[in-house]
Amino acid sequence: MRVTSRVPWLQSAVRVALPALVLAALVHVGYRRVGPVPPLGPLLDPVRGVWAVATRPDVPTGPIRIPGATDSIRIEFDDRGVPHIFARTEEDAARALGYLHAWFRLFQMELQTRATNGTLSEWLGSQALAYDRQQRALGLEWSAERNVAALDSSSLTGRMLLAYAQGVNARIDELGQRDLPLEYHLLNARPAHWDILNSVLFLKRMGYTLSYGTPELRLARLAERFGLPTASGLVPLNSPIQEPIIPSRRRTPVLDPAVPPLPSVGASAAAADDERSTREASNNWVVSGTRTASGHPLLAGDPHLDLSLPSVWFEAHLVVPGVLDVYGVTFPGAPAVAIGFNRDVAWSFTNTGADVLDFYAETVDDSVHPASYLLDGTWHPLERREEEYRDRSGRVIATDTIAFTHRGPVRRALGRTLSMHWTVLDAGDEALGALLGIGAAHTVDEWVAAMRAFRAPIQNGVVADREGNIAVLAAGDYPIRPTGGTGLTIWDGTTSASDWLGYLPAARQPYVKNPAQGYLASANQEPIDPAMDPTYLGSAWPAPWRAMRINTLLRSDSTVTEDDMREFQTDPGSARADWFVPAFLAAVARERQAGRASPNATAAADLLADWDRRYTKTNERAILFERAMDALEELLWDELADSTGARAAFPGEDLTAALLSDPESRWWDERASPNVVETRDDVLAAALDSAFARTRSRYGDPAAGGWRWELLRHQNIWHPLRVPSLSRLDIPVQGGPGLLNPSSGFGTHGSSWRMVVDLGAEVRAWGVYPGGQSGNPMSRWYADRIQRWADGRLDSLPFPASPDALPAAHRSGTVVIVGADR
Amino acid sequence: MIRQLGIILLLAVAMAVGTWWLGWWAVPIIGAAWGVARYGQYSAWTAAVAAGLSWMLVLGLVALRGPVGDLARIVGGALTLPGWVLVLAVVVFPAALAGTAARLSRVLLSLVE
Repeated sequence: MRVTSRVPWLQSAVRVALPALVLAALVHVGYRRVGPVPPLGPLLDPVRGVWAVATRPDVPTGPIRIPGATDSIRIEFDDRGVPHIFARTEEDAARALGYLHAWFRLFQMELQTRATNGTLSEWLGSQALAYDRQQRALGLEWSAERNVAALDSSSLTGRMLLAYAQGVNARIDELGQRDLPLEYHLLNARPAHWDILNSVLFLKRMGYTLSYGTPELRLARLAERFGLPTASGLVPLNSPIQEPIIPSRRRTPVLDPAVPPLPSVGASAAAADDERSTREASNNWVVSGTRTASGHPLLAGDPHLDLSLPSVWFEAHLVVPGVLDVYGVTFPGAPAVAIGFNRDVAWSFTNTGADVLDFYAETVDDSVHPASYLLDGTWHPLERREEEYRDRSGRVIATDTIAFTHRGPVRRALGRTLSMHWTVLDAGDEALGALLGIGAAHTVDEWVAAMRAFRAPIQNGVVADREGNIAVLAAGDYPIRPTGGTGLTIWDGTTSASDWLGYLPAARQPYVKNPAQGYLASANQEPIDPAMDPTYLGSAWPAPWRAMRINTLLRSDSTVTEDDMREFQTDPGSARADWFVPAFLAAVARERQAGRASPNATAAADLLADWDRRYTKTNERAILFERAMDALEELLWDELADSTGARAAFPGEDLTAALLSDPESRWWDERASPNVVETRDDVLAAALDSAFARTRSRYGDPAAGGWRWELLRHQNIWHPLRVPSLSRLDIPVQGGPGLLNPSSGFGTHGSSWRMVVDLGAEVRAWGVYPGGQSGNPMSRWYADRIQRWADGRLDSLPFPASPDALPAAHRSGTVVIVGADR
Repeated sequence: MIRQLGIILLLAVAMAVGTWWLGWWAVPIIGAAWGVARYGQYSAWTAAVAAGLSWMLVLGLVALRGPVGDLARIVGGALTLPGWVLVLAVVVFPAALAGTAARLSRVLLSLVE
């Protein structure tokens, strides 16, 4: 005080500086993000800030105006939040769907666009840069832009895409700050306008999710470490257990053991960078009227994807009198029903997992900054694309140049310059055109004809019609390689003789209609028994446990009902356990006879002998079996691990199953015991011993109740921003590895939409997905279906033929859309 | 005392209207204007209390139309904060803005004079 009173200017400075600094700091946190906290001003503002989200209605309130709408469009919302859209033209239906997708799921739509075209950094900053670079290197946007440039705007697909974008943008244009979805408040962002490119990008993204597999790189890496013979055995062309989609002449399942040779001496398993086989999986099946109680075909669909909240799906019913009357699940981002039914036909898809991507070793003029590549003795210029990455403020934080040969984008891998040829980059808007076509089909034949236009990603479509026909078609572009080669080769890029010769003709795509067995099922297994048709379609197929189980169920029931179909979707039985448990038990029995069985192995075998091999929530043996399978994999494939235990390869369980038939194979021998030669029974008993010890150590005594499956196996449905309060976690389910209701790993993958359709005189349908229609976490429809989904229940799906046909008890609101110029 | 409360209430209404009309930055502007007006001895505190009150009242109106508590829990979860911290911030943040703005403007004015 004394000092300041002697120095008045200092006193004044302090009096000004203190509030000035505090105010500056407050204004700073008001305007600018600080760490994870968004700018506080717009966030906390009680008028326009995040709080407005709490007051948002569950359905749009009219009047709604969409530019280009040619007539009034009526939308009836049912009590599950499903819009029934009644329009006069297909384009108007697309406009309404675009508007509703944006109304309910705008953040999700923009997020998936940014995740595909590599612009997440503009939302999340440099932490997303590596991901963005990886995405752009795939060339998805490059391909989508070419598709849009070639799009015929007068075609149905072109008109639908344009109309859909008009609908999305009508919603974006009416958004004030207070109307923004919650996530935009958290990110302090504004939604970008929607372009038809975004819809094409979304379809590319699905292609990436479902068909981006690189078995040739995997094989090459394994061959470097273990030698080609071993590597080839670990990435087998054909499934060792055959249970194909197209019914085989052989009695299935058939075991075709193709045991890989041991690694050559001196092989190194030093690095563990191998990929596990793709997790994308799905089930669908269809039963003809000859095997159902009602005499009508029944169809079940159950695509498995990474689970998210909001869901990847949005349910909708589109009606254009005389043209379209289709119900099912749509992707927010695309104007079509992907899986569903109409008045005559029902269908569902699983992923085929065919090999639709090849790599070519290119000779370039400069390995770091290539400008041209050698082809047939001539240097050709590379197409180059400059990529700029921006942060939240719009500042450029990185640049890349991506080069393309005539085959596709170029990358460095395995010490070489590789170009990539991938059907997803070749394909145009055919997928959307096919989806629009199948939605309007009246018979299985019409459906199949429309689906023939589908190019990528290849899908196993099961279909049934009210005339009683059933069929399955694995539709899409299957590359024909030169000289009958496979996709496990890295081709010589210097010659055009390495290029694909075209695609498999439609007549040779896996297809069957009305088979004698009276049912058809697909679960991502190898489509055709190679003993019937050895044409290369892909490799490293997933073990066909789900296919074996559903075929067992369908074979054993000749009066299937819709309830049976629903129960099959969460059936707790395990073909995998049926295969391996007897082997474990027999091995321990022989070890007991020889006086070598350990107390742990004996106890485990006794417990598994009592097990009904069902993964119900209350089951107390499944955990022991899972631990035994883990231990078996570790012991059996020890040759593929380095000294730290890191694995360089993860062979499929069907390879393990194949090895069970070769008790003396050298694979059973343990490297850790060089003076003893172990056999199959030794390893199976040791796996049980280890499993029992581990399970008891972790979960207590078997009788203490800690082994209940529901305590251990959960599904986790995360919001894309990984915010727990926006997610639903630790959901117990009746499901498990290799089951029809798959649940493994982190529980983030699983059944994304379950549907059963009865194709009787009037089509009836039931369905559920894990989530709800709305992306607004405050809506009653944000996560309302999760419990029913977890319980294996399905909702009855109202399918009104006219707006007034929706029962009043099922109505949640009515909206009318008119053209903006009306 | 009643007069003082009446002044605070009027100022709070002004800030609520300002927020509704212009956005969150109306709060420091009105706070600064209040400091310049030099009405009463404790203009900074008056501005702070009025600002906190104004946003709290508006949030109360929002809460009549939707589950603000649930939303606070969700948004707080996204920011790894308890929900009540977010609600508290709706009072503290404008109060601090308006109070410091009023204080600063008053000091500056006194220096000029």
